Amino acid sequence: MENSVRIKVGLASCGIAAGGLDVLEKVEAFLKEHDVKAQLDHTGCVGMCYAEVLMEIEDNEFGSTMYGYLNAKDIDDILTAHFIEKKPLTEHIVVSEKFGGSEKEIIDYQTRIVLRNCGVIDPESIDEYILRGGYEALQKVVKNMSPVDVIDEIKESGLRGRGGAGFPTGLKWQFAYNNSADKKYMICNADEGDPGAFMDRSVLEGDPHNLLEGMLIGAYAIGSDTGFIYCRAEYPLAVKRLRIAIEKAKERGFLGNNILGSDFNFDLTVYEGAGAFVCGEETALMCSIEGKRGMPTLRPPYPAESGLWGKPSNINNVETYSNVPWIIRNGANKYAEFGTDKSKGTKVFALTGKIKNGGLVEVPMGMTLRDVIYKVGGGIIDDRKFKAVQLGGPSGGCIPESLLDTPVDYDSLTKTGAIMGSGGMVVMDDTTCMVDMARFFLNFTQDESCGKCTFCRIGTKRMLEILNRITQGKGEKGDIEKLEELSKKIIKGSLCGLGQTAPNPVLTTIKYFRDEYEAHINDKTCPAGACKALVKYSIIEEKCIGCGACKRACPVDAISGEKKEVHVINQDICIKCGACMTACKFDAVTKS
Amino acid sequence: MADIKILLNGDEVTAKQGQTILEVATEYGIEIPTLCHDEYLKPYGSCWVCLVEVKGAKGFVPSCATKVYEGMEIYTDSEEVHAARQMALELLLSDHYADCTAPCILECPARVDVQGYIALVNDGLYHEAVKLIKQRLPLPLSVGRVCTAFCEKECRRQIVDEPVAIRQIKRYAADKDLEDSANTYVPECKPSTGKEIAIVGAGPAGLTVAYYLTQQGHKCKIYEAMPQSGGMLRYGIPEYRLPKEILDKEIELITKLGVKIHHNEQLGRDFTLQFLYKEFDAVFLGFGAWTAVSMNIEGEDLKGCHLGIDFLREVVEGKIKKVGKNVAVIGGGNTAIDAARTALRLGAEKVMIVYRRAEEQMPAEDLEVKDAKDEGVEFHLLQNPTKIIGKNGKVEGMQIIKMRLGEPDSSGRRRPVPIENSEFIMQVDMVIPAVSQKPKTQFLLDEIAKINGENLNLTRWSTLEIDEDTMHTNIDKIFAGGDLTRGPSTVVESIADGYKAAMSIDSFLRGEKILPLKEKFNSKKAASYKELDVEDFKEYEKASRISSGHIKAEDRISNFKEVEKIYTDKQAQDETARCIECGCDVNPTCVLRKYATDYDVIATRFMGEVNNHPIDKTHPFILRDANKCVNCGRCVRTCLNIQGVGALGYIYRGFKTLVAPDFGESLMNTSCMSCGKCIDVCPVGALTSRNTEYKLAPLDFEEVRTTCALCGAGCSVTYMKENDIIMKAEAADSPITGNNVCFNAHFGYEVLQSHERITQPMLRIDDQLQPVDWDEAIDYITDKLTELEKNVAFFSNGNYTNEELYLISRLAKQYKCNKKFSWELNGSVVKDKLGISFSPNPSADLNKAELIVLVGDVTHTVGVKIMQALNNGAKLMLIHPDENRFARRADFHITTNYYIEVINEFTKFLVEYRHHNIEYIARNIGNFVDFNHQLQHTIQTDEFMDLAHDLLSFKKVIFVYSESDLDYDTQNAIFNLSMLRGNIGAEGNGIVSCSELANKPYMLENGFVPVKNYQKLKAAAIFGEDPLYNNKMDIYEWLNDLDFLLVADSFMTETAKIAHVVLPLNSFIESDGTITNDNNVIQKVTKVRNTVTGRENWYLLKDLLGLESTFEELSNEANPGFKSDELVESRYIPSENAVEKIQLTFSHKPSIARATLELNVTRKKILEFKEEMLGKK
Repeated sequence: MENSVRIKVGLASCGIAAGGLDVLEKVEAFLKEHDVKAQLDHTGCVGMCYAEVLMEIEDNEFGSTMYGYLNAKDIDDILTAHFIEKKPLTEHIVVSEKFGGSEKEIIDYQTRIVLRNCGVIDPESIDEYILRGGYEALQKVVKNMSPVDVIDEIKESGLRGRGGAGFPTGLKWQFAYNNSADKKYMICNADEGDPGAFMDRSVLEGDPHNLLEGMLIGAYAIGSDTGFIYCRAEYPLAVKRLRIAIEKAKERGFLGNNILGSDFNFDLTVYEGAGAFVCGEETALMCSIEGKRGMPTLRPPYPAESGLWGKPSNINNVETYSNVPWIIRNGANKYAEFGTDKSKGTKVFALTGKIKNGGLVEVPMGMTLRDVIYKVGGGIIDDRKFKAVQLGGPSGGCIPESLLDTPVDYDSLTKTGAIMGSGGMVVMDDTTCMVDMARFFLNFTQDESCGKCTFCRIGTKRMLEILNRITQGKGEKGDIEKLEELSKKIIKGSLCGLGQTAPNPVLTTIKYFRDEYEAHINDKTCPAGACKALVKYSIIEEKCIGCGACKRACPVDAISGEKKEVHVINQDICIKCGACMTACKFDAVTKS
Repeated sequence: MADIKILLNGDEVTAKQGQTILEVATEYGIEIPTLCHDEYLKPYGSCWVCLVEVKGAKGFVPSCATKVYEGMEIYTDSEEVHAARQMALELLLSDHYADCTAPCILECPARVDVQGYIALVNDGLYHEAVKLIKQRLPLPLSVGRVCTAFCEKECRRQIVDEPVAIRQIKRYAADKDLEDSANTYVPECKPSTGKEIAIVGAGPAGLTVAYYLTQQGHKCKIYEAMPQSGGMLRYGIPEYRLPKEILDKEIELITKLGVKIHHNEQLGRDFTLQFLYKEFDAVFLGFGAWTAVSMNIEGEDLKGCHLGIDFLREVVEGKIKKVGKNVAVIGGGNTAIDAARTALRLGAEKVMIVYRRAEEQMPAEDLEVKDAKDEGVEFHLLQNPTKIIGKNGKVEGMQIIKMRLGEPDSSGRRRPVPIENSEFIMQVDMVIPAVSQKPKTQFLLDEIAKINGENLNLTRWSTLEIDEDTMHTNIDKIFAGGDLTRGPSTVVESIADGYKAAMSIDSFLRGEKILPLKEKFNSKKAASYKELDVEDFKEYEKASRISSGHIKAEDRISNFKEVEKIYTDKQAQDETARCIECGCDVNPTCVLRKYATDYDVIATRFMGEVNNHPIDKTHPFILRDANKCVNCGRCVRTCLNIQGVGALGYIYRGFKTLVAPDFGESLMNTSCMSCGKCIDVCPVGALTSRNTEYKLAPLDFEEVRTTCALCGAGCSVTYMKENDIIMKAEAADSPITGNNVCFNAHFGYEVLQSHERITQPMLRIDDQLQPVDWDEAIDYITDKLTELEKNVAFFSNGNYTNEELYLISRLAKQYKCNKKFSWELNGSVVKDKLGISFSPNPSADLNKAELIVLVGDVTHTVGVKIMQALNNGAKLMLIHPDENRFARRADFHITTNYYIEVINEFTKFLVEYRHHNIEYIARNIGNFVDFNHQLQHTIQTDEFMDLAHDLLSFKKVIFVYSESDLDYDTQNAIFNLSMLRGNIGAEGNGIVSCSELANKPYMLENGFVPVKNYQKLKAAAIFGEDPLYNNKMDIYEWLNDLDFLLVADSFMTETAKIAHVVLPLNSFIESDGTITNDNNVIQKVTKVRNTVTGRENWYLLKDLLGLESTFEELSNEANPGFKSDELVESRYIPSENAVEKIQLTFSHKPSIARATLELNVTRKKILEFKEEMLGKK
């Protein structure tokens, strides 16, 4: 180990999108050219998606040094400084044992249980997983614990389903265990479909064995010998890495028959979903695996009684399973140390929207929203004014600034009208119109409704039409009440979670931002200036110097004016794209 | 199931564990609406119309899918529930691009079922058409001639070309109905109620009131001021438009019901209102608006000036016989035109219409204006008389001022404005101002007209004030309508008033509250045809509106002959065919419409985008209009889970989600079997029946339930008919067959009522089959049978009732003929071995089996029962070479043609693994050792070992096959296997056999056998079989050489063509009797339509036998001890102490199973029809 040098380049989807492959190529070339002996690896997402491309160098000299915001053209300089000049370029360092780094504080706020291996190990290497304690929990379970012991341990840990509803995992397993059927299925819901959510993908791409081990432990506990991972086909890299992981686990005897020499058998298949959001609903998901159209069915019977092909089945999502190996290895008590009274452990959030440090974070339950957004997330882009945060995707609700000190746990969030959901967190500043935001999410759920229940299929459509009307300045008196009336019935009259929660974004925005709705309807204005139909761009005479930049930028030739004379926007032609405002260097274009 | 207690709307009631809320509520008489629930399917919960509140539940609960539990607290009709259901319905209707009722009907003030009578006229049923019209309009002869036809103004056909000529069609129907006087429609009247009503005025309103109240059993007395009845129809409409003779006949049809009309009796002159109020139980005032309104200009008192309506009346009365040379009529309404054309006919040289506005603003009918012009009437438009000039007290001319059009007035028409200094003089010697009329009502304000100190209220237009919804005046017993309350208006509006008043008066007389007529909810595609997309109507080929033709102008202006001609039959056919049938075919039964009405739904509350789907008319029998679909999925689930086909599914997502065939294509591109079940389960009109021969309409068809006699299943079917024509069919609920039919019953009736049917007996004379009368045919046959005694072979298929088969057997017996065959009988192993003629196990046993072994093809209905058993958890082993509809449901599919080998192998494994029932074998089988020895020759293959193990692992196994599909040896192999298992006939164990041949058990019981050794016979009597199907030469030669060949059939078959005598037979839809199904259940067959032969089959057979028995006597002989309410499937029960043990026969010959099916004639025809229609030929 004396001279061992290891370089890891983040190659999850986010890393690749930011140019990770180019960086890798450059690094490879550098090592070859300068004859540096180093092991070059891929790794998954460390969570700092905003800082991609990320590259970590581990050596005896400086310990672990992570460079971020990388471009392929920087690589030569950075590596030269690091290896040849031995004076690392600290301005590129994001996290380092020795040099601190720009993002160290952010990392320190986090507690990594689910994401502990993400961005650390090569997800395609089972050895690296094992090196970091992988499959120890499985051994412990198979060799020393009875199914009941496992279930008790999970119950004691207080782990609740991370898919959204927060049902106690141990109890769920107990139900499946209690069923004496000859065949049971263990299903992983990896159909992450919320706009702005990518927690599961990160685990799937960055630490697939962790999921496998969690499922294996669960399967052992409930007595299942067959499992399915229902993964959306839009995650090709996740599917590929899962398949590699399954292959390797089989080779090592962690999967298949007589696992670790016991009589426990478990076979696992990855099933690719075709991209219907509703297939994230457990009964629809099972329909889909059965080869039918993904449409939710009535509950009861619950999956634990009659699930896939009529057999008792257990469904958890990726994050839930990924907590399990850690719990078994470190003990329920250790896990329960994190979090609050009723919400134990950590939660992974995907921070998106108008937030500086967009990406994945894992924090202990109970941290306040303010801390998550300002400390971990670094605050609002351009330091604008925070307006609201949408939690739980289209099924969730938005939380206004007055409630920013709400601790992140299942029960506190539910009280606000929002939900924990799967962990999507969309941050909005004062340029976001809340009516438009609600419209965006409702548009999504309306499109994705399976079309079965009357209220959901047609009710959400009518709500959407009302919201469209309002944002176009055609709102009428009574529209808000109509939205509330429809919402109430849709929530109470839908079979599955999609319909039952679809009105949430509308209801919470009406609750916290009713004045914005009223402004749209009564005054025909959009306070955030986001609704195009209600916005008017004009040029301030005093500020315009007649440079013609706006005129050139306008895609529809709506601006006229001679050089060095004041320009004018023809409102009849203007499509309100805002290009003129961006182009103007003299702040002469205003929006009203 | 244990009893539990629940709280239902606050009351504690008892329910059974496992019941749903919907089931319990229904038991306790609480109606919960639902669209998606179907008792034959698993709960689905998509429509949310059945929602209820359950205490403690998070949201609403779908009652169809939620099971009750102890202590459950349910509220089925709280305000919240009501509001939510209403919203669900409103949401569904906000995306329901459809019309419940055709716009023509909604536009008609009298709400006459226009679409309905057009369809009936198109189907040749004009008596029925008139019956339908007269449900709302008692004067079609008159209205068919003079109506302004509000209906035509919204007719959607004008989007394609021109509106349908509805009025002319009505007239055609009414004239045809009258012409066939023996069958002219006359309504039935209820028994007398003892109540008496006085009606003042024998015009359209009064006659209508009398017509409907008389039918309700009330006595009606009409007081008419004029010497004859008809009111304005007689005195206001000239003869050339409505001949008095026709009007007389129309009124006669009403007086014939018992209505008394007292002429020359005028209210206020001859009797008082008080008298009516005192003497009668109710009073209707309908004495019209007879006072002509003058123009208030100088000279109206001159001789030669007559007010329009007075002029017309006096012409009818004979008071005016001559007119001036130059006549000016003032006004632009129908009265003005009538006056002008009448003046012309009375000899005027020149007739001018002077009207102050332009032609577009004329209120007169366009057709009237055109006719007037054709006849030479001059139109002086934008002119207004300012005074009439006289000389010696007589009209000499008229001063006229020219006008121009100004701004629109309150009526929307542009106001005429005089042009200054444009006056001129027109030379005329007669002036007829025809501008308006009003009722004469001032006398009602007199002291003497007071009732209990109160006068009737008048409006400022001198009309009588009424509540327009009920036609009730301010005085309790008195009702009114027509021109008296409206001012001058149309005949049809007066009739509408009369109908409404009659309904109110009837309620009043029965002591009920008088409520406005509640109309059912009506979904509408648009308020007017103008808003519709022309693209949606592209499918209709243009076809011009047909005019019935007018007498030529020169031939009509000198007389009062009726100008308009009546349609010819062909014209009526063609014109009615132009109707594009806007109203929904199932609007009387549509569940969505019912609930929308019940829940007072406001269709526009959630208006928004509407999905507009093309209507799929590609399937000849099933019309698919996705615009009406409510996505309840009953068709999808029925087709997949019960029929096993899966021709329909859901496509798209969100608001666009749609039930459709795969990829949204035509139903014809799917595996649809055309069983029509999707139509039966559709709660709305998204899937409806089509009829290739007749125009359907949303009519209240007469329903007749019978048993289908086209295969051995014995399904119950309801036929819906008008007169003698079956229009459509649907499966009827039956404890034996569930709620199921196949193509044969659902659509096959079209063949049975086709014109191909033979109707007359025929005898071969001079080597030609020639029609003869019944007696001649019967005598001939009797002679021949006597002559050829003992030598005649009798043949029959099973499509005949037990009574008919009994009589055929008796006929054979009477002539000592002991050969009775059926080409369709395939040989029945269970008959030979067990001595039973029916399936050893009831078909209901399928539901009790753990494993069903299906060998070959079975009847549709048994197939459905198998699907249901699979849905309930049974496993299926399919032995069949094809990937048929069972294949995807099969747990084990053995694809082979060689059934016997597979089955024998299983049998060998059975014995080898000692799964055979040794005790049973010892008791019941005589030759087991021998048989086992033979069995050992069977080759055993490893590939079947696992399957055999699977098969043997099930305790309850039912083997299913069709005797029409499997040859004798294959049946026998199955029988052997089942026998060795030792439990044939035990519950859930044994054999369920079925047959394509109807009535097989009865045939077997009566000695019919498969055809064999027939060649030596000299004569044959063949009932309903066509052995020459498939051109069999050997049979042809035999038949041709016979001394005597009688063929009795419904169609002229190849066999019939070479017969010596042919008898026409009725099919089962024209017969009464009974029929026995494969499971020995005897069910009633009920005559749905009249015989086509004029003689019922049993009657014909009785005559051939020379019997005098009644049908009841013969039926008792045919089915001794039969009770129609005992519907139980038979079961084979082995006798405890059998004298003779069963000898097994080893089937070993390598055979390709599948017997050649000898189709009977009717089924063959239906199959050909289906293939032809579906284009699969």
